[in-house]
Amino acid sequence: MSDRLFRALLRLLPEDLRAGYARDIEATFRAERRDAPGRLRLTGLWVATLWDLLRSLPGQHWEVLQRDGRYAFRLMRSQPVLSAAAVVTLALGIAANVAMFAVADAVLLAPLPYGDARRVVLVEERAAEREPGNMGYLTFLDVRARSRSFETMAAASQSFATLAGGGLEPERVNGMRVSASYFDVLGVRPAIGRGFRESEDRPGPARRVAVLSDGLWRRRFGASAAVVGRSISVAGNAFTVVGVMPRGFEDLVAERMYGGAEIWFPLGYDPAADFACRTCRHLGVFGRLARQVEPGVAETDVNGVLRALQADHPTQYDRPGVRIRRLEDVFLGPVRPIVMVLWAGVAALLLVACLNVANLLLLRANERTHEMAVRAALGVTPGRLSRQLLTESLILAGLGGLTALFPAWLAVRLVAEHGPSQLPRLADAALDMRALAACCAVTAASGLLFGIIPLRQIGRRNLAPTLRGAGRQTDTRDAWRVRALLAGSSVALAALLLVFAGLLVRTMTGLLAVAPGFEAEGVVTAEVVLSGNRYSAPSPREEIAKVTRFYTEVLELLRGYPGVERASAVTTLPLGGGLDQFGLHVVGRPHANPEEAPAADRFVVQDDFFQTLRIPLVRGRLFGPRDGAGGPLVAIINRTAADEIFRGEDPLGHRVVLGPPNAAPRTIVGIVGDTRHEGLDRPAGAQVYVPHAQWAWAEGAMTLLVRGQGDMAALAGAVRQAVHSVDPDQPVSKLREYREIVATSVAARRFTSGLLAVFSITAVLLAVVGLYGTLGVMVGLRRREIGVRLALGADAASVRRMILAQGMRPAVAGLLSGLALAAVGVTGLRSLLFEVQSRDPLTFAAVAVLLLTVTAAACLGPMWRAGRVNPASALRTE
Amino acid sequence: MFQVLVALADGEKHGYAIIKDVARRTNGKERLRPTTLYTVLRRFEADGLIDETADRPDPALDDERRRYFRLTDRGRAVALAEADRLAATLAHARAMLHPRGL
Repeated sequence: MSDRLFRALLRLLPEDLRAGYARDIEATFRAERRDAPGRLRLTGLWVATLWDLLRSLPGQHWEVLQRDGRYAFRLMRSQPVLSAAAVVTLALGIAANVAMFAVADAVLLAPLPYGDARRVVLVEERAAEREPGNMGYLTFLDVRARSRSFETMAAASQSFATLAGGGLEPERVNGMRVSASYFDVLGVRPAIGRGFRESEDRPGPARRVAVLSDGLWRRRFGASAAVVGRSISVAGNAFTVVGVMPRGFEDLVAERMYGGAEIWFPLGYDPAADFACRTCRHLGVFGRLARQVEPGVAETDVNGVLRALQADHPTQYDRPGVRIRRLEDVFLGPVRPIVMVLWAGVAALLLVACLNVANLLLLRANERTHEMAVRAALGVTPGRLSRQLLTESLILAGLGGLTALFPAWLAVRLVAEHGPSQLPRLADAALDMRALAACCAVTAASGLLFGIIPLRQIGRRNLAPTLRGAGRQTDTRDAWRVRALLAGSSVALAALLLVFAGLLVRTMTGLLAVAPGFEAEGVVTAEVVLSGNRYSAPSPREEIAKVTRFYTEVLELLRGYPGVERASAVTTLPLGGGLDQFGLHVVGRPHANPEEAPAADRFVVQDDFFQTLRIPLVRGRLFGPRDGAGGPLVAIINRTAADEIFRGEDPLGHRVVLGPPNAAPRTIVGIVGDTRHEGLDRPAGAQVYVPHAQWAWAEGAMTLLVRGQGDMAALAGAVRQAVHSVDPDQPVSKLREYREIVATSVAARRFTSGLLAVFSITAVLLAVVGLYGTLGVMVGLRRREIGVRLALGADAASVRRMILAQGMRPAVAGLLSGLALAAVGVTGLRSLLFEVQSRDPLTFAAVAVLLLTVTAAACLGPMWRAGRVNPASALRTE
Repeated sequence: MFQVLVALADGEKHGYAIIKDVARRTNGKERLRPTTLYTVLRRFEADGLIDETADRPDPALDDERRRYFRLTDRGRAVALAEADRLAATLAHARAMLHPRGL
């Protein structure tokens, strides 16, 4: 038993040492054992011998590796073109995969920056006809009090703050108003100071406290440790800083849902206030689930609460429900398909690269058959040969991996800086230690993958005939079968990638062909948020007047600038990412439950809005000078609202109420064309426009729109100048061209389709090169056979047909396999497609025609060479 | 591994004999183990310092699994050179350590 054990341990030694000295080592150990009587001495002998064996193993194997490595480098130097081709091919595939890993790691795999993030959920109220969304304050209070599924809950709304003082320019920052428990819901504590107390989460002076983001603290307050307790000026009012959030706290809620909020204030709502009503659905609600509670269970719980609320307040709820989703699903769910599709793409590309390199190595292995045969005859075991071949493959892969590092780093930087903003945390993507570890893993896996194939070919072959100079014909057929399989597999993967890319390109084409309903080209936008004492007043009417006067003066100035054709302003920019919905009630058509009224996107606009964006008038009229504060209340609706709400009736002259049923009615004076708002791929819903001066309360936050000719930068400068002429303390933010905003709305799909197109073209090139090389080698090795055919009377055309058939067989087989794979794989693409079926026949047919054409073209060279073989010289050479 | 060459100086030996010889001469301070020994022997064989001998002892005393090694002329020259080097090092050390006049 101990002999068997010792022999088994000896198998750890390198094969050449084992082959030469295993018997001696075993004999010596047996002699030592004989001379070590007693259990204690025997145990000591075993321990010492084992230790000696294990200690010498690394050195032994390292020596073998060095020898094989030196040989591998000599071999690569003797075939520089083949080696360089293999290294570059691998580097392409490895770089793409490593870059993709870095992106996926940052976007998908990194945990959300919250404590026990899986328990943090978004709670969205649903009504019968409406998408789940925001909640009213009183509903939130009741759900929080009555639900048993949450440890804590918080509500949040958007806020803005104009920070002034400290010797710095006034700066408008995005902020949030949040319940006192908001930071407890997220499971993150401020790094300095504290969060909010319940006593501060109510109306009054106690509410004037603030928590800063780390970025704002460093940028505006010099990272001073004495910031807590400091008074800051926010819109002309004094607030006290009570805390600073930790560095590295990237609040996705603030970033993705509240415009990149950098400052938090207490919500501080008065339950009796108008805007705190149950139907004033403007609050985002977040919760930390109690332990072991799943979102589904919490939904059932909260649905019960809402049904009870409906029973108590029947006119304020319409078949209420709730949707509860983990935050990770909210933020990462929509981008998962994009990342997974791209990852599949780079994996396919790497596979094609490995298949191509395997083909190259098979060619080399064929040429080394004689060398292998001689070594085998001299006693080198198949295992030893295999180890050497694998070492050569791994070194080749290692060089490919090293070469891939710089392109991978560059690709990650480019994607992080210029990738679509829809991918959260993309800017965090970097070639860090995890990505480097992934690089090592991908490199090793690639080396094994393409190394195994020639290994199996050498291992299966009887090398003896090679020494006699015979068997070459057999070898060619065997090698041809494997090489044809490799070439066909490359074509299959190229087909798969082409189908994916084709479907997404068609989606992009469809999206870009969608008329948004307005003209974004030539328009500059800028956000202005009025705040501070200058724009507040004791009565809403006076406030509306102040705010309206500001915008009117700014727009009048702008219209006077050279190069400006039109100028206006709107509360929510079409395709700008904001959502502002109100119930739309038709006067004279009451619903038993006002909540059953349809919802419409609300746009509060300044004069000239439709002309500035070139939104067409369908019927009636646009807003004019008579539609001011003192005039009759009016509204304009879009075509969809007219069709859905009035169903064939002429809406003009009808009166509607926007918001609560007791709000003042307004007369519909015009119908305009639909504008895409939630996305180019989402049809327009009901939309209603009201004049700025006629809205029920002052809308201080608006986006200026300026259409002009010539230099967009000059227009942007004019906007800043006009605003500062009216109010020098008023910051202007997000100055950009409108077409960039529209482009951003399709950026994720454009990014995905662009990358997939690059991958698929690369894969096609690699597949075509592989097929060309395979067929070329085959023609070379079958020269004698071709010579014999020609000598026996076959014409060149029939020889060429034979070569074409040989080449197209694996190509067609690969194409059919690839299309079949694509037909299954496209289900993963469905959420990204727009107006194209996932198994679109046109795309599949186009890919088939393209691949058949390029693979046939790849066969042309070898066909031509085969037809020109001189039978006499072919036979003489043999 | 100088000790291995010295062990072979007085005639061919198999591996276990080399181990016992080295242990005896160093009073047990150097105890070679089989793996280390045969790694060294392989290297010496590749470098031409030793070779395998065809001479076998009496079959009654022999174990056919063992191979016997002997020092080549080159191996002997290398061992001598190393011995001279060690002797010179020792003489230098003695000269440095003894006080003057003694």
